[in-house]
Amino acid sequence: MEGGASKDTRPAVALLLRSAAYFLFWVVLAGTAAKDLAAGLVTAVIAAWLSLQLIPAGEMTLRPGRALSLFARFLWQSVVAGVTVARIVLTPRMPLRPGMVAYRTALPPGNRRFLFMTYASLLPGTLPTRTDETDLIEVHALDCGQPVAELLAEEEARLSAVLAERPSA
Amino acid sequence: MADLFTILAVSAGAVLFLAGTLGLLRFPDTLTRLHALTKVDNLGLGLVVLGLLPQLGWLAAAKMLAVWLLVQLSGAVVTQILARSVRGEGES
Repeated sequence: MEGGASKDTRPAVALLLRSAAYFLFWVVLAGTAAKDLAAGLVTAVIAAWLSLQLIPAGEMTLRPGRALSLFARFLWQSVVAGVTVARIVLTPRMPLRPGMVAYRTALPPGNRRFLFMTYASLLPGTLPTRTDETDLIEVHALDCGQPVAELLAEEEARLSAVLAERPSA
Repeated sequence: MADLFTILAVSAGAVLFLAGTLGLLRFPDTLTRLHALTKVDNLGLGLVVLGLLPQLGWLAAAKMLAVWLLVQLSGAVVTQILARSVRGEGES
């Protein structure tokens, strides 16, 4: 868009915020010795710059409240996922009904779809394998007796609700 | 009380790691084995971290949580790359 004198400051703000976040992460992992802080500062800015190449500013804006409730749900789902598989493993006859499910996604190819696939791979019984231009995601399911596609559609809706609308470019 | 919580949570985590490893041995193919590794071991690590939190200062606790987060992320991404290469054209 032609904005005259007003420049788009979003990338600069994003670079600053992401650098700060990475730096905080560095401090947590590496501690607060002066020479570590110097290395951390450089690393944080490089990491923030790289992350802007991969996920441009504003593409993945989260709604904080919904993100938090999805995270709480995710914690519970990882308990269910772990216990489900552990129970199958520890049952002598191993009640597995694995198979492939084709799931049609509403998410465009790219970061958002990839985020959903990553999220789905941590959910109980589902493991996305690949996707293509036809909006199909091939999902490996541990138990084909479950309504896998319906469950994934619910999760996709939850995840979409967390992501703010993409600002019109 | 905190010690009891630690013992229970870390033991539960250890049992899950055992189950995850059993899954790696017992499950029939690569994709089902990936389920065992990602899901069971993630929960096992989560329980070990959760159990250790009451024993730690805040910086060490934050570090443990950061490790848990990094393992979740890298595990989920690597799992997908493996799953894709298993299903990819012409490869087995």
